[in-house]
Amino acid sequence: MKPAVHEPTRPGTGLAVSAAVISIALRLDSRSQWLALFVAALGLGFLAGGFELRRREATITGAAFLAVGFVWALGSLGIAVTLPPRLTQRIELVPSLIGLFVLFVGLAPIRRGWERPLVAGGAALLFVGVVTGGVVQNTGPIALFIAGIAAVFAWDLGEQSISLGRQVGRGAETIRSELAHGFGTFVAGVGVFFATVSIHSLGVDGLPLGGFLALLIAGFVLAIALK
Amino acid sequence: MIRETRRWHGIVAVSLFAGAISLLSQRSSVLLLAAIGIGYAAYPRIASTPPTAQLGVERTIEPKVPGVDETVDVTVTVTNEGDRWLPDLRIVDGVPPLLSVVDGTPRHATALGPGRTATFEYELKALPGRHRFEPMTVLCRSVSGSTERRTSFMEPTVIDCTTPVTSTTLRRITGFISGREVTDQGGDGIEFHRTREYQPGDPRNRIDWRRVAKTGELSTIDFREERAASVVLCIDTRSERLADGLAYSVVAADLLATALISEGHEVGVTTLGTQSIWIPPGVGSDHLTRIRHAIDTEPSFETAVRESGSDEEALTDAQSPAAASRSATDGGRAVRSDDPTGTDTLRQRLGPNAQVALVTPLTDDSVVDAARTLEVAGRPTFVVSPDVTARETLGQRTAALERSLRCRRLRGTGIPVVDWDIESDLDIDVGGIE
Repeated sequence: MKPAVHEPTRPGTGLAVSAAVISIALRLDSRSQWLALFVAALGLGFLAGGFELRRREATITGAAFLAVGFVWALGSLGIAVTLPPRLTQRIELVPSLIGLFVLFVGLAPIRRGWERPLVAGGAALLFVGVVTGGVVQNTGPIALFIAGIAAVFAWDLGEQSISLGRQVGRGAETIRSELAHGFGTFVAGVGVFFATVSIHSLGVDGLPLGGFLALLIAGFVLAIALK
Repeated sequence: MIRETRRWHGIVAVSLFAGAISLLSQRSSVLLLAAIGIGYAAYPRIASTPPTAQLGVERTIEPKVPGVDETVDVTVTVTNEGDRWLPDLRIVDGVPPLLSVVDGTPRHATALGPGRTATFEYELKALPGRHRFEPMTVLCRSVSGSTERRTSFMEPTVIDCTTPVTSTTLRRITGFISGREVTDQGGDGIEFHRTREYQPGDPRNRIDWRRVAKTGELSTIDFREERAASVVLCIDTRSERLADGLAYSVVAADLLATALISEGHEVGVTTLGTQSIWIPPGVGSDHLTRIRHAIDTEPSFETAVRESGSDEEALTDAQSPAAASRSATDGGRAVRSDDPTGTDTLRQRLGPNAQVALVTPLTDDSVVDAARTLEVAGRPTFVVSPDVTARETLGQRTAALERSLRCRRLRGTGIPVVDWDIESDLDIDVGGIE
């Protein structure tokens, strides 16, 4: 009997990691930051190859790939910590790269049952990176907003990959379902983007932030009360 | 059945986090990020209800009648017959529980527009017996993935890999329909039994004319009477936990019914416990077709494993809601609680010459009591028991030991037991015990 392998699906993993990489790439403004991301992507490629080889029982080659991938991943973090000229660039990039790796190992998966916490944790770190970028860097509001949506997108695609993996398995064909779901989330993101940009264009920058936040919390309370 | 996946429940945290940081840092661009959480919290409410999947399911198998261990190609085609787009359709085909998937996967996920079709293929390895497909489980999620609707579709398909039972010798019986069961009683037949003194009314073709010519005395030749047995196959369907036990019992019952009917015996079918099925003994190929139809379609013979319930998302390979709602009544009559195995009802239904073949994995003691009750009540009973016990863990070895003790207890009370090693052919020989 060939049991179904209930691990996150390959297309979903690829899409989620790509969304995470886009979320980071949108905020980069120095060559050393790009270098760190490039090295991280290479490391992820080796790690993915290593996990796949181990799955096919090529354990020694797989372990070698994993070791190389791990070294590249550490190297990318080293670059992110040391090379970017400004401290703010380092502070912004490091949580994002860690988030990318955590998201990836959640989908690999490094351990059964840890997929959801790791994917949620990785996406949360990506979002922290985006927020940090907004605070310490002068990333434009549009790029920042799209990067934030990409982080949520990465989490949603990862979650979809986990869910499909659990229900139909890694061996099943799932790409159409994942693309359709991703398209829905993308359209919702585009809707949120245009709605936010149109409100932003009204020029309400002068209003106190505290007032905005109070409005936000009031909105939540109302939504919960109506539910 | 609609289930909420709660996928987007935590997304508001994004807004609260971004809002709090924007307040502390006095950055309006960060506050914009809070809109993402709000937008995605509203998203599942806009696209919340998963569409009802109206599907046309077609399953083809090739070859239709495979040999043992032959590979069977299964092709499943699913068509969206509704007028709504199905954005996230997850399908788990109801593979017969005893057959293993050797290539491909019986699971598929896709998005289907109205009138569109999806096809997937996999291969099974055929084992002896008739194996019916369980209902196909279909999950349809809303585009946001926040809710999930679960349905099942029945597309009756049977893989017929029937092998002949190597030999069948039943218990001595006293029926009156001619058949292959040779008795010790003289009468019509083929095999010589004895000669006896002529009695008025004896048929002329049985008079020993040589003896008349030699001695002038009339004598009559008796042949061994060949009679048909009337056998009711009583299948133990009570154990829901042991799907393999039931599946192999159904295979054994099918093999037995085929063999016995081909030998001219009357065969009936019922189940131990609720007796939701009662097919009175009958002969002929039409009757065999009726029995097979019952075996292929009756919910009592569904061998799908129910999910534990602790993990709502997980799917077993074959699920069937029908299995959960097994009939607890007998045509409207509630089964008496003091007769859990239903032996009293069965005894009343059996004809005076019927014997009972109790097909059971022998996983509990009550089936032993049921067999003894029937035997004591004058219904010759024998047990056909597929051995589905494993011997890997201590618990499994204990279960196997208990089962062999049950076999011994039954034999000790004069009830023959055919202990079927499921790896080998089924051989019914219980004739030596009266």
